[in-house]
Amino acid sequence: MALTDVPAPEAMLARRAGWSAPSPLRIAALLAALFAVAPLLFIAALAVQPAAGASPELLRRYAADTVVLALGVGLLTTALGSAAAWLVVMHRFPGRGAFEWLLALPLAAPAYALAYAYSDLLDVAGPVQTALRDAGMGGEFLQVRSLPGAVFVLSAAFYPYVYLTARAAFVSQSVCALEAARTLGCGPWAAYRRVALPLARPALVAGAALALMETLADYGAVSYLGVQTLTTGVVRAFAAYGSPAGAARLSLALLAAAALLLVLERRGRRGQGYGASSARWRELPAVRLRGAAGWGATAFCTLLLTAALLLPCAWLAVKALSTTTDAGRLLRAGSLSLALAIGGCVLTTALAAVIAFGARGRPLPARLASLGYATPGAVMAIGLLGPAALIWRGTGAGAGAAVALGLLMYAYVARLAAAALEPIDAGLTRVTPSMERAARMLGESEGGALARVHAPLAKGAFWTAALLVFVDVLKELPATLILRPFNFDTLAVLAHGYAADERLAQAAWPALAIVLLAAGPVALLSRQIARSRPGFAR
Amino acid sequence: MLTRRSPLLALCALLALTACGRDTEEAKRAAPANAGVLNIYTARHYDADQLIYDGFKQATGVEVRALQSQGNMLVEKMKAEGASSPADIILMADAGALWRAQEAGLFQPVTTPTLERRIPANLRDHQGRWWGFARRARVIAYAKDRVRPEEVASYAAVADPKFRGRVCVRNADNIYNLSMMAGFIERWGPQRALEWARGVVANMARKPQGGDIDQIRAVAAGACDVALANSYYFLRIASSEAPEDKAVMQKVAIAFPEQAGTGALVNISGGGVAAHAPNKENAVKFLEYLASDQAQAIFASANNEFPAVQAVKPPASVAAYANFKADPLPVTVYGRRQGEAQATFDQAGWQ
Amino acid sequence: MSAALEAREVTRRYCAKAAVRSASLSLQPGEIACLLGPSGSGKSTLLRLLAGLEPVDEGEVWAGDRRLSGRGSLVAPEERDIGFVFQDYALFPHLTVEQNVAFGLRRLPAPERRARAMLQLERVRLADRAGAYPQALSGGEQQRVALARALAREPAAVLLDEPFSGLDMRLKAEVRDAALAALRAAGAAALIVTHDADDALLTADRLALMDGGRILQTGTPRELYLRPVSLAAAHLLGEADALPARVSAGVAETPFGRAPAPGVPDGAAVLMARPEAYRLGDGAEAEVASSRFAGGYVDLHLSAGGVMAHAHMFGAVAPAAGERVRVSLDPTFCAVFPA
Repeated sequence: MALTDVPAPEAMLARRAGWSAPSPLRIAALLAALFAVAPLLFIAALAVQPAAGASPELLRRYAADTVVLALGVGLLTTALGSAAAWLVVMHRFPGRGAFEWLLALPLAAPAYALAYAYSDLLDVAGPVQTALRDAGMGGEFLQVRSLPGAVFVLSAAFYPYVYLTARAAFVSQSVCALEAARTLGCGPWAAYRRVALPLARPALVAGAALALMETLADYGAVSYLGVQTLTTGVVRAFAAYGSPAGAARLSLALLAAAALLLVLERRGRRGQGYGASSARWRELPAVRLRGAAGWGATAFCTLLLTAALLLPCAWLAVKALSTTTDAGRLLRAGSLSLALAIGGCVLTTALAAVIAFGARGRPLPARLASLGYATPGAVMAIGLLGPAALIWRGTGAGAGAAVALGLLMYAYVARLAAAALEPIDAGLTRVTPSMERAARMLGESEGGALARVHAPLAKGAFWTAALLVFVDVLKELPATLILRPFNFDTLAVLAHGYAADERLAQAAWPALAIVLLAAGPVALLSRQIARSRPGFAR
Repeated sequence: MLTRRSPLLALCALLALTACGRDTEEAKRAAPANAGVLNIYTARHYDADQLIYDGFKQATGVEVRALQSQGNMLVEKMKAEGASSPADIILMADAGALWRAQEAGLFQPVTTPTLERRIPANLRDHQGRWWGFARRARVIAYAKDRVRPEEVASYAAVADPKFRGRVCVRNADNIYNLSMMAGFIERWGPQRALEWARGVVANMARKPQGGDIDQIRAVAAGACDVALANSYYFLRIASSEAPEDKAVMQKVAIAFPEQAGTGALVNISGGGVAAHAPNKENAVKFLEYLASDQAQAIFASANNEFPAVQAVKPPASVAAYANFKADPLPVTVYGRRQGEAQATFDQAGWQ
Repeated sequence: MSAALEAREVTRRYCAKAAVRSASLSLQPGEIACLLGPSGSGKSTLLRLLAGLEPVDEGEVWAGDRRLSGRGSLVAPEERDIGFVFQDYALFPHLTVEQNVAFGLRRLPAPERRARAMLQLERVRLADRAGAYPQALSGGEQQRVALARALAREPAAVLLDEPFSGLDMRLKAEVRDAALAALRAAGAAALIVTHDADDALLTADRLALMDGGRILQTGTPRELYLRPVSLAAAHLLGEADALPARVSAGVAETPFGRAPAPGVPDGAAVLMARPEAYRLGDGAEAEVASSRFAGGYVDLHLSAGGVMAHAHMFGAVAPAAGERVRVSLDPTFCAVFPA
């Protein structure tokens, strides 16, 4: 990330001209991007068909609620994520070492699981409000099934995206800049506000963009909380009006929002040439927080972790323990989830690698392939039915398990390519154009240069990408729900089925299993990102 | 670095292999079209269904393979699959969804003397494209200490100004509400249905939220006095041994509306044979099994639904509520008027 | 003798603008040549054209009797037998110094690979840093590693893009000498791109001047310094006064004295004079506008007939500011161009 990722104009022109005819890899990258974006093209084609649907007035309300939700989640995740990252990177306080990786763990909990837990915990008939009522106090303000409630739940679920990117940015920041700020009369807070934060801006924007895209794509949590966004509008157009075209039209609005986010993210990254490659890295001088300040920091981190993970999981555990579950079924679902997650992460990372390698210096294919990330899973599933129809009808006997699994993998790739592309792209910025040329001049072909220079330098990024996708596949629901083979219930499918049947205690088992399965990879991810310092090989 | 990670890599490879192994194995089993399997696309999300599949296998030796998903997604999936769809049976948890599948041409007409004899005419398609197997009523749950049963004897009562600020309902886009509204439009005409919806919106104790069980619990907690819910959710609480459920039962009762008039609105779970069913014979067997005493009893005992077959006696907990007057409205209207229903809710400001 | 590397009338355009226009340049085996020009003159582009990092739009690139670039054909850079040292060194941060140097030797067996890498490192006097990572090295050391890496494959030619530009003055001399020694030891032809005239003069066997995408002049440093083909070429290699002159019968007359102007037509002309051209003693009268001691020489500004001249005077005594002196021109350091 440290090296400039905007090539000099001359170099850019040179690239445009290419060193010969488009290499096979470039063509492969473009094809891969088209492959990933094909379902969205199908949606666009659907959207031009005549459609019944919601009234303009209603659409305005959906859009307004979506904007409020997105703004709320964007602000809250950015504030929480960057504050937490700043605390653990630049300060010493009780428990800091543990918090450094623990604070990323909420990424393991699906947003819908948090929604289940909080809506039950804080329901009017739930333990908290009952206790408040018994104590003679009203608990009406504790309303999770509301727009503010949704902002809270989604922020709790998605702040780790900002936390992780912000932490990586703070860790890699030049100490010199901070020290210069201090010698110029800035206190620690001013140094943070005037130097560290602006320097970390690209990372914050990238993290917030991920969180926002997840927010736009979320259906499970938002619909469970009864908040009506464009995404729930999509599903409503589809379910109640029976109008895939109407759903597609709303989806286009979402895609436009996603495209806007990507542009903003790109803008945010411009001028990321700071922290040059030659700058020597030094151990960051941590500020020791003493007394109340130290315990305050500890309390903040504890509170964040409790709200985003511990409390909802504990409540789910309480609910789960009030019933028994079919252990065999849970185990089978767990192994299926695991197998899907591994397959999905390998394929998605591989495809993202092809795109990132082939399209290095040319952002278009990567941008295209990233659109899927903000696409609600249900929409992606509709979009996938287009290409799927070709496969089903083409293969005649249609839906053997292999075909179904293939399509499911396709769905993961199309939906999650962005999650893998982001870190790989960032990792590849460590390879300057001249490094690649140097490899060529030393006798390596384009592929050889990629294998011996790009791949090892971006190795950490590959792990980051793979882990992110792994966790996302574990949590993924809508595409799995529609494209999986027969008798193929994953943990997410089980959780959703029970939640839809209003058996929260039963849903708690698979939901907790997802958290447990994802926790390990998230911890690894957290460590991986912490270690990837610019200019350092390992 | 690589060596330290190689155990993880090995694990990944192993899992991928086992996944593939299972995959090819299943594909092989899928290959012969008539080797005693039955493929079900189902929108029902109840554990009871596994008991039914097991029962069917015991009775016939046919192995059931199910894909559970949302109704509208299943419809779109089958449209995309066309003639190559592997589905033999489509099961839906709502008449509206059945109607939509029917409109998409996903069923083939099937009829047998057993089915005709056992399933009442208003719970099935006249061409035999689909058959209803279990019924549930949309009922009014009320607080025993604050509401007298006669005050909630009709759906219209929920919109009565005397319940201002005392009504709990769930979101408008919920399929149970949509089907109910479709029924009202059919019974009352669009104008009265809209006025009713406006009346309920005026009466709401809080914004629409949560599921049916949440509405019942909210009544018990005193957040409201009247709520709309599906009968089997109430019956699930009624048959539960959990202390918090018993506490709910202390405070809440249900009323079947319109008993003096047209009867309570009833919705069905049902299914039919897919248009391109590769295992049609087994599919027909399965429909007959669903109408059998054994399966009907499972619907009642494991999911608290009312059997479609009048002769089947449900367990006592369900039987206590089974003798109500049901509206004989053909359930297809739920599907036909679903769009109108959504528009009515939208117009009334019911979110 | 066939050239180790040769550009024939190559042109390279970006959009409508030509970065290199019809440039020809040849590099003989074993020779060290410099390509000198201001930034934006197209010299780095020409280097990349030679390396095959970019295709030529017109013209050809040859190595001996092998055509490397031309219309519709391009030998990939990795197949050209050319080494390249990048301005930012482009060391691979994930590899040690030794691994960096051995990067291009993949086809050799491991022991030989190692031996060759170490040999190159010894030549640049960095054998003791073989196990270090590039980030741990100083700028000068990184530059030497980059050179060793380029030489390790024993290429027929090595291209160096501004190899000394990132280094401070003292370091630069040291690194430059080390680099020259290594290049001589390797026996490869080398082409060094630089914008620093002193570097170019000190380093090159042969020198090419480039400006505006064109090659202005090629020759030995002495030829280019003393006999530039134009005023522009003269300025590229160092300071030069452009004195107004009048030529009659092959002699140019200026306010600071006269110099022979063979072949220049009579009439108005410009006389190019290097600072070393001015001699004190008899001749034209001039006033000393400023006089500063600069160690090895005295830096004088002279004024005569309303024209200023900049002179370096050698010797123990020098005139002070305000003195009137007599000045003449040493024709060795002068050239005359028609106005």
